[in-house]
Amino acid sequence: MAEVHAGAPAPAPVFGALGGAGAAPLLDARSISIRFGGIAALKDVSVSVDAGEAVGLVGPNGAGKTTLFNCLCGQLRPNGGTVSFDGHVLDDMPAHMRARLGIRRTFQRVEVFPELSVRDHMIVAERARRGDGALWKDLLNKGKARPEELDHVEAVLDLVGLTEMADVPVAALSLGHCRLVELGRALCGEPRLLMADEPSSGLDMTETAALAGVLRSVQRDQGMAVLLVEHDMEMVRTAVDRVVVLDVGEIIAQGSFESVVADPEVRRAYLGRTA
Amino acid sequence: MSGPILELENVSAAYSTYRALFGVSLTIPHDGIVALVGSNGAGKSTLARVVSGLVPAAGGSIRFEGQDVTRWPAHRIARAGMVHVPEGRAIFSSLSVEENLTVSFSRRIGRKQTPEALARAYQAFPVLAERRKQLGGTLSGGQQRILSLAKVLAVPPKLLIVDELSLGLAPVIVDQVYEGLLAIHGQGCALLVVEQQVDRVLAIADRAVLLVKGAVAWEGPARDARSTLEAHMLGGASANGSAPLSANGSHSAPRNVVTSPVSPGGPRSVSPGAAGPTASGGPHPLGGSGAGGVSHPSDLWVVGPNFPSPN
Repeated sequence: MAEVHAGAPAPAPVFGALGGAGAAPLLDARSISIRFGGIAALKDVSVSVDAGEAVGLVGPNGAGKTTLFNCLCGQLRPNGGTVSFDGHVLDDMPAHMRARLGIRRTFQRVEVFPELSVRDHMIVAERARRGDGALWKDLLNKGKARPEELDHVEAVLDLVGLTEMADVPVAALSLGHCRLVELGRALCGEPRLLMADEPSSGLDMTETAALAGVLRSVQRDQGMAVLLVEHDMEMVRTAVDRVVVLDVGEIIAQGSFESVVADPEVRRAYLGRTA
Repeated sequence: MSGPILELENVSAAYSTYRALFGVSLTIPHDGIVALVGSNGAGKSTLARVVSGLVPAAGGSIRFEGQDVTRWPAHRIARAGMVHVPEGRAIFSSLSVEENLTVSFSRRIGRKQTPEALARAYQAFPVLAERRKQLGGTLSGGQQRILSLAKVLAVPPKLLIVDELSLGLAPVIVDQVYEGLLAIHGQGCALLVVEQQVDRVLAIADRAVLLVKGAVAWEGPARDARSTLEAHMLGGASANGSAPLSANGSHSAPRNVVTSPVSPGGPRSVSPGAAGPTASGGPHPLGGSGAGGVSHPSDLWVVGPNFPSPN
């Protein structure tokens, strides 16, 4: 079994008692295993994330990163192991209930509504977060965004840099901008844990650097925990506190960015000819 | 062979009322590698789709090996020898890895040659050999991307257009894919490469074309491109990522449209890094002369800003 919860100090949370030294991890996944037919996609994987902590999850293609995400979020039910979040055992909890606890995610393959505008994506997420029934009125065309909702949406649009595209249908956006829509939608939910699956794919160097800055600032200012799957190692270096490396469904290394990239096994399996 | 393999003249395109390309002109020689770069949303993928017939051109002309293919359907263009690997995963989910490869190879080179191509693909990407019986749809996202690239790298076309080459790939696989590109280029395949990791693609390209808001803002030798691209794309962004995300790309560059033909460049070795050997030290499994004597893009990976060396 690979136990990877390391003692990286979490930034002081801004809102409420989100944890601290000695507190239980916000997310605690223990001994997660899952098989697809004859293939063991995850083998006894344990990962934890403290409140306000940013953890990078890297590894070769097919290592099981997205599968682990799906097990944590409820899209997949593991064959073994248990997942808890903020003291709640999630094992039998459907994905939408996990979202209500404060887990939000983006997807490796973007999942957006092509006909909806960028702003409408945010409004839907905002209303889902509030959970006061306004979303159902929207579905019946009887809803109207309230000023406070719009204010929050505009703030998130500004944060992720989509203000000027707010009224554009998502179908007209590039892949990179779609990823920002997903990120903004997740942030509208004011997550306690944001799980981002390759958020920089399709972004250029400047946008990737800025995205890393946004994630860091939200994490530090609002005490949001982050679990980040990413192949851009510069983004990983700047956006996370520690790194977990998966390979063929097992954890092969974990620790600080510097220690992980210096690990010969990681360099062989993931980084290639860089020594 | 003389003459360009691809010529675009004043090509424009639109999605409904949204105009995506404005009078784009460029030329790729038979032995050329052209990097198509630009910010997110600049029109790179649209241009690639227009060239391969996936998106109709609203104006202008596209000539492939001297033939006007502007109105040709995508399948006819593909049969003529131009292959486009779009961003994402162009595979059949319900077919196995081997069936995916076989369908692609047998169509292009015939059944007799297919086993040899399969062997080359498996040698280049061992993960595909390990999973040859697995359904494509059950591969990981990155493995699906590898499969879509293996289909073209094992049997090089006359012109390969590859969009977001490194998307979703682990660094070690990106190394292998770039080696594969150089190998098939050595066999006479011209390349038009769209890539966000500009250092990578500029290290192998002869020429670079910068798109800004759907128009060519700059075109020139790849070795001269870095500083120009920084001015256009990075806009003076600080290295610590403090620059705000910009939805419109923050392009202040003028539309200095350059339509001069892209001419054959010099040798491949445009990397600022030292020339390095291939991973195996020998010919690449995808054939050709390999990358021997070529500055490999992964050299940049070691010394570039994206990766701190532990040494």
